[in-house]
Amino acid sequence: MRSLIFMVAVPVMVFGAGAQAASIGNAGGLIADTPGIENGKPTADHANAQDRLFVRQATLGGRAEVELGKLAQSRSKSPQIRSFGEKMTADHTRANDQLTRIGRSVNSEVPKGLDPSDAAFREELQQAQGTPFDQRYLLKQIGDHQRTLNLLQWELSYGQNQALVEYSTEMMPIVHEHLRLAQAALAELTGSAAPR
Amino acid sequence: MNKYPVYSAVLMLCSTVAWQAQAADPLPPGATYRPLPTVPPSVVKRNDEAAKPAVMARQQALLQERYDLSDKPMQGVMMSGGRKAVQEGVRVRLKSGTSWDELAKLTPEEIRDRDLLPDGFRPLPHTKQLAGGQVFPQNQIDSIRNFEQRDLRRFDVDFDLPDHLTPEFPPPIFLTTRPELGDVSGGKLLTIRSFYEMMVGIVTPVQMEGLRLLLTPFPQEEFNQTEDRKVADPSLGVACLDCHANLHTNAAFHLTPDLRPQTVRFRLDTPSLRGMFNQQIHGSKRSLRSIEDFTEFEQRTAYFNGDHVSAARKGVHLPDRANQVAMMAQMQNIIDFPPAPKLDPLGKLDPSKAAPQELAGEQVFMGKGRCAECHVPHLEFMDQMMHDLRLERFYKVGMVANDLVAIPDGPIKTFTLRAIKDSPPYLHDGRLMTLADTVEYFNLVLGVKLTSEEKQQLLAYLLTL
Repeated sequence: MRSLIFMVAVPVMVFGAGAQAASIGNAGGLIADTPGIENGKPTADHANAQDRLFVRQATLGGRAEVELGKLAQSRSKSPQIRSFGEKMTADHTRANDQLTRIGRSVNSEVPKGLDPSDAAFREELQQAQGTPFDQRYLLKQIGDHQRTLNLLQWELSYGQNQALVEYSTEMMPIVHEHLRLAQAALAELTGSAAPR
Repeated sequence: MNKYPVYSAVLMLCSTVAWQAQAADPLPPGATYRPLPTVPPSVVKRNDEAAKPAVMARQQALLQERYDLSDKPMQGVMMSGGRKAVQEGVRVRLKSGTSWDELAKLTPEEIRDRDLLPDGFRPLPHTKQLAGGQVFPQNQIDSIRNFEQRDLRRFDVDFDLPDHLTPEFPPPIFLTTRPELGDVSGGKLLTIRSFYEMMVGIVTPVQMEGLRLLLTPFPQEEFNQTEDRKVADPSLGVACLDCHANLHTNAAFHLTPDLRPQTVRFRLDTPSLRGMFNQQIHGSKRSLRSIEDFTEFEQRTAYFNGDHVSAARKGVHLPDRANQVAMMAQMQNIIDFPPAPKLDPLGKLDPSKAAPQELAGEQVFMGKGRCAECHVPHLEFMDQMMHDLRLERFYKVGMVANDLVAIPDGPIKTFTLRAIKDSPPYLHDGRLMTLADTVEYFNLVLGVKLTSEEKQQLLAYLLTL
């Protein structure tokens, strides 16, 4: 577990020589104001509404990971969960920095601070301690990482901006691993059935 | 519950409290639903056509990296119509520095951590994953254009596998009702124009009407009259037998209807309709319980897109259950397998007809290879179950290949192995090109450690089915 905790986010290896980070086309089709579509040459750095929404939602989600990870480090009595919190803070700080850089280039507007639902959860979590704290934190982590996976898949399905598609491709296996770690930690704590 | 009573109680309490907290915004609707197009069809076509060379080059690069796609016919082994040779050899490429025997000695975890699983064993992406939809082989496109003047050619994507790795075309047709006739296709393709002449005197009025409906085109997600289509002109749609050519398969592919978002939908290789009379579950993941259910349902969801919302806009065919669905089902339920002269009535090899190598292969199939645990000979080499082979033990979940995110396959229906030499490529998504590939795949996934000799014996046996 410990060695996994300190595993840094590995650069993505896209399998298949023909694979490339940028997607081709998307499930929703191009949007009408994409530069270059009248000549059949849409630009790869153009962002559509989905790209901008993705930056907003993923940034808010990432901020919650960082803040809740800090809380886990300071409040959990379990070394395993403190390490998990540390990994979440580190990995999502790095990912958020990357996303902020890309987000600036696509003019995505992201509200300041935590999403109200995450802020409310953090307040509730601060009232808990011991095993209930660990369980609530892990349950939230599992739900949030499931959600993040679906958000990344949605961006890969509909996004148009090459940098964001590359970002999503890179994050996909990392978030899968986070989910697996959270499920394993909850299983150890409660005896819940963790996916294989 | 009994092991962790206190924790479980706390968990339940926590869940209740969390439910009362402010809910986060839901995911965007596109994560499940198909958006309406916002660009005029002429502009869509222009962009898709401009992107097509890169789309096809990218897929070819992936295929070449994963497989040996060359034309290597097996000496003296033809498909059941005698028109096309069965291809030989393992086509999946190993990662450098490994061999099949060395790979089989490693644990799934070692293979995953060292990234040694051959890429050809992983889920195979659609040629244009994010667009998805049905893609027909060129022989089907040409035939339907000639016989029906209907266009099955997409402007955004072409079929991606070479012809020699697909079933013979058109395939022979065998009927349970008229076994004495043998192949009734006469080497021709069933189309809406040809079926009557080909089948009058052979089938009943009910079966004929079922066949007519199976050959009647209806609007589909990529083939319809709206701006949300991938054919040049407004299209009449597609027919069931555009993929199930002559009630078998022409290897046309699609994406599964059963997953969203788009990027995780796995590829579907068209299954044969042969042996439908003995098949109790339908749809690789849905386990629909009758061919009637399947036939009726696919008509209303834009053919295999799992999307009744989008289908409603493009035109839905709602076949009458008693009068139309039943007839379509009755036609599908008389499609037999080709004869297998070396098998006895209960699916065992007849020792007086089979070669020693084939008989040895049957022993491997029934014993060490563990094939017969799902592909039960007297149940037409099926078991009416879905099984999860858990291939994800061997690779890191979440990797992306040509816009397909590789997630675990989960349980998939057991397919029959009768006349299996007739229906390449193999597995639900067509990721394996030859029967030799399937032997290596299951050798690894089931961990049965077959010797080279046993693999050859198993292969010889599979060709007798």
